[in-house]
Amino acid sequence: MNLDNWRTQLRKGLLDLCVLNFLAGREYYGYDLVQELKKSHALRIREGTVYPILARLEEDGLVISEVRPSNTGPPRKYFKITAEGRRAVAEMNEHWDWVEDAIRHSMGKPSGGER
Amino acid sequence: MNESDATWEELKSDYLRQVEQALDRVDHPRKQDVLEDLGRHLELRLEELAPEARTAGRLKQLIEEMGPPEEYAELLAPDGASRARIMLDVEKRNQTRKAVPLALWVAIVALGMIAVIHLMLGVRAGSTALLTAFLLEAILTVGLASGQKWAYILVLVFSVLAVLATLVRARDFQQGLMVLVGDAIVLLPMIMCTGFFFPKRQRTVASSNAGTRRSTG
Repeated sequence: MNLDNWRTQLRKGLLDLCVLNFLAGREYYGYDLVQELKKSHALRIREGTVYPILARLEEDGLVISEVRPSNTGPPRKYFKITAEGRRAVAEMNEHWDWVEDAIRHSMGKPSGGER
Repeated sequence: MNESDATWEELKSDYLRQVEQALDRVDHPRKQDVLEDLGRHLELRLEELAPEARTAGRLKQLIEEMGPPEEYAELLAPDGASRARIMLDVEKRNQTRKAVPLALWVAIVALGMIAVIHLMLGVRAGSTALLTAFLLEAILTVGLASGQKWAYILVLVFSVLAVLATLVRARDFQQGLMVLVGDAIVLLPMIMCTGFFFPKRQRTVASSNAGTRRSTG
């Protein structure tokens, strides 16, 4: 089994969830969001990774964006979660909890409810 | 424009061109947005770099930190079904479309046999009507075999008309039944092959949400 490939696919699969969770907290402009995501080393995010994800989420109606001028440089595009996005991320988080419990159970470790 | 500016512009446009090429594989309405966002991001990256630090090596590093251009296509259309929007899948679907389904072959063979019967009867009886029917059926058979929509529509129309005419005008029960059976052998497989001639367009979540898009300039 190619573990690198597995890790890459897992990481990519989780990026949507992480992006939506950050945006559920507050609005971000792309650059700012990248810096926030980069703090989570496990995600191993690259500088440009977030933009196709944001474009897809926006197309799906989960986020909206707005370009605003900046006093300190080029205009910034701010991303904000929509009501539909909030519903989606709530469901995704719930599902993530189930998945995490299932994995912990398969590893013989106590699940979330038992910890 | 100084040397580092020129280097930066060259590196940036080269990278964006590579990303654009990678995104060509993807059929997504927000490809241009991604390119604009990347351009904006690169400008911010440059802004935070002190002018004296803008060496060719450091600028190149900034570009490398953006990630491989191919990754953008993968991230823009990652979810199985939606990936059908990737051009490669569209090509694959077109190839599948070209494969003639078995039911259509049944209709083609049946129509061909009816044409031959009409030819034989027409020659024997010297009937212009039967020979005309043979000619028409031969053309439609060739049209169907080459997957022409007009042939499909005409065969359906003529088959339905033939069934109606038989029901209204048939004097001999046995002859009427034969015509109906012949029509059914053509008509039923044809109906089964509607998707071959008129493939359904794939509807995606993205397109259904297109109305919620907000222009970002």
